[in-house]
Amino acid sequence: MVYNTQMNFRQKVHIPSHIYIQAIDDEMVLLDTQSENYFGLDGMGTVMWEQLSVSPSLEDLAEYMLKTYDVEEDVLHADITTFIDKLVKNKLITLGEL
Amino acid sequence: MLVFNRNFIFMDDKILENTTTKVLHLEEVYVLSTDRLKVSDLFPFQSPWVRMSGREVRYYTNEPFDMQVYITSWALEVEDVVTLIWDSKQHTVTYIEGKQYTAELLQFWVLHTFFPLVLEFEKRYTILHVSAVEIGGNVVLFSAFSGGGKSTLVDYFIQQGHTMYGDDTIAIEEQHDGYDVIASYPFHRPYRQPEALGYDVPNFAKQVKSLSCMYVLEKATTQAKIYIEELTGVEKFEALYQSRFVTFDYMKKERYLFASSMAKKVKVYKIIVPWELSRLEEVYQAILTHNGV
Repeated sequence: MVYNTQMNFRQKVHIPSHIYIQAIDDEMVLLDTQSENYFGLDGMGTVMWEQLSVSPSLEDLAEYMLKTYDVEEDVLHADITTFIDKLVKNKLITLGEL
Repeated sequence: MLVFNRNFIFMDDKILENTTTKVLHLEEVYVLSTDRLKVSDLFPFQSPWVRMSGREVRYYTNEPFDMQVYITSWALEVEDVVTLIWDSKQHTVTYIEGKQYTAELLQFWVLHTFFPLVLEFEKRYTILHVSAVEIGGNVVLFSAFSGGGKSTLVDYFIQQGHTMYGDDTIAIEEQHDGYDVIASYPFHRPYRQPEALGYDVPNFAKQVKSLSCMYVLEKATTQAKIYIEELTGVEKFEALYQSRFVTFDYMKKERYLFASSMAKKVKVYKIIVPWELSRLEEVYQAILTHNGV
């Protein structure tokens, strides 16, 4: 499958061991124990995070989201790219080849 | 003196006894002086100096500090003031006086800093850096950054006849369906002064009671509208995570798990507090109403 975004979706997500994750109310709270910064994921972020914990593949994530939500493929890919970019920028995940 | 649900007995400084009634069935903790001990002979490990309450302090332990799960024997040196040594078997704080020692400084360092650390290191209770009063049979906590109005609000509650659980810290203990609150020490300091506990509070809690909720005080302009809103998710987590008294690096995971676990059991609210003393009554009434009183 070819995506119209710059992100390579043939990658998998790795969560470093110093990142702790807990669900609080309807949000996922992530703590980086090295920097002691913490982050909250909104509803959609939480859904994507939960799916990544089922399968770390970005392709699988995109496929799941397309099946589950009524959303244009381009829009979805842009949303996933933004989401993943933020997580990477804040060192909450790393990306590796499948 | 009743301190964290124990009877504290200052053996060599009777001027430190306050008016709080001794509770007979409780554990006793003795605080006594020595000039025969040298702390470096007792403990092979010592931490670097760190700044605390305007003083340099360091820890002494039998094993590397961050390698221990339960720390039961240790000491705290407050430079030039006092060195405090904990003996968990004897329930005793032994102290060595420094050049600037006074009985009041001893009392401050034992009650405000040393004994809360004892309770945390032995995993007896979790200590929170909050104020607390009783409202309608349960305990509510007030959290704010330093100078954020906790003591002023507690002062108002004390004046209205509420029982105080803590001016600056309290202990909590997790129960199946919530948390119990253990009152800290019977002093209240409605002014800013380092190394001072403030004045005696006769209406100090003698009973452990259930935690009702926590309010995060948010300073606002003098004319601001007072309102209360519930915090959820990461905001709630942040309020609880920041309220821990002990923030050692090696305890980060435990701190995180504590805050997430507490977030699932306790309601946390933000209250807008106008920075105007004449409006404290409105803030007080808003909190009472919110608690159904």
